[in-house]
Amino acid sequence: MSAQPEYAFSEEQFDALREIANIGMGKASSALADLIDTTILINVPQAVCVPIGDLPDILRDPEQVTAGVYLQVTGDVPGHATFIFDVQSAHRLAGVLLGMPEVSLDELTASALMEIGNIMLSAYLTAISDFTALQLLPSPPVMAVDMGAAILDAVIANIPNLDDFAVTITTDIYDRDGLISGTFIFLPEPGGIQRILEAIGMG
Amino acid sequence: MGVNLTVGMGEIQVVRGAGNVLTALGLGSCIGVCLYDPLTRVAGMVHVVLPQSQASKAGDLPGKFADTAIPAIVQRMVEQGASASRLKAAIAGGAQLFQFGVSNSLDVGARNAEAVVKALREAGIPLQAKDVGGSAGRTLRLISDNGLIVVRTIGGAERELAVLGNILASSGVAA
Repeated sequence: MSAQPEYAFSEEQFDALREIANIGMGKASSALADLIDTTILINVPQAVCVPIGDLPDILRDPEQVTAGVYLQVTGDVPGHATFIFDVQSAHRLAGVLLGMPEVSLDELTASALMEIGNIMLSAYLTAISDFTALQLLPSPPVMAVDMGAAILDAVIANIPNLDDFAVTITTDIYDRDGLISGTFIFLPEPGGIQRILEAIGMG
Repeated sequence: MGVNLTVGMGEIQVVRGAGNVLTALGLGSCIGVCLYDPLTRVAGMVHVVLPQSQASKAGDLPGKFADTAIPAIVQRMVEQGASASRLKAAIAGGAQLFQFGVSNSLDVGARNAEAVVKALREAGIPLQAKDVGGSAGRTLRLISDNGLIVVRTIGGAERELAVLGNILASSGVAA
């Protein structure tokens, strides 16, 4: 169980978490850019502590249909990493990867999307791992197409020692033409944040 | 004036009288539990996240866990004038969204549903209707006028799950 509530972290510590997320997202977005040969942009990562009841506020429209790729992180920083993209982006990404202009969300495109999510999430975790010298080990990814809030809900219910508050590190990702947009959400389990901060001398 | 309240993860919302709507948006493996007292029109909803509170700490949100959520919401409703013996329940949620590479031990949705049904039984509250399991997320609404419960999934219209205020259809209420 957590020794202290995450919301006790200082603004400097949240800044450090944003910087680390930025490093991770840099790698993740260039992995996607290489994959689909498009310039991919990211916004400034957010690191906040919110009551779990407010988590769906991360999403622009909690009831919008999205594709979510999720994996569990084990090792030094146990946590939960999710990449949620709106369904138009999901179609487009799968179409580009499979070399087809129009795709529907069938099993083939689902596996293509899952692989895109996996590559990006793994790039993100590896970058954080390299920077902090901590081990962040990804589980095999899983995927769902559903309301964004329902996907988050299913992710949260995978945290057995869930606190009333959760630290979320989120980054929006998009391309210049407005064709692709998605959100990266990393939810470290209680204690994981502390370990990241200690590793970079901010504990 | 009625209110329209969203019930987030681990939250309990209780309203009294007609014209109110309680909504849980996008239930995945969580369970939305609706309770209703037809006589006083006290309506409550809790968004249960996990089955058990074995590792919980003092000050934890009681609504997070099935075993603590039911007693907590009943108490809140009684404080608003409901009678515990008149309460009726309907539940929705407990899906398993992630279909690939997930072992059964990870099926929190099914365990949540089981734990909620057990907690309702222990509290002596009749479960009038349930829409649980499957692989699709649900949005759940409770309308306080008559205890109407509606459920929506993606690609589907809202459908009626139950009317908890329908006294004719229930045996537990003395008219």
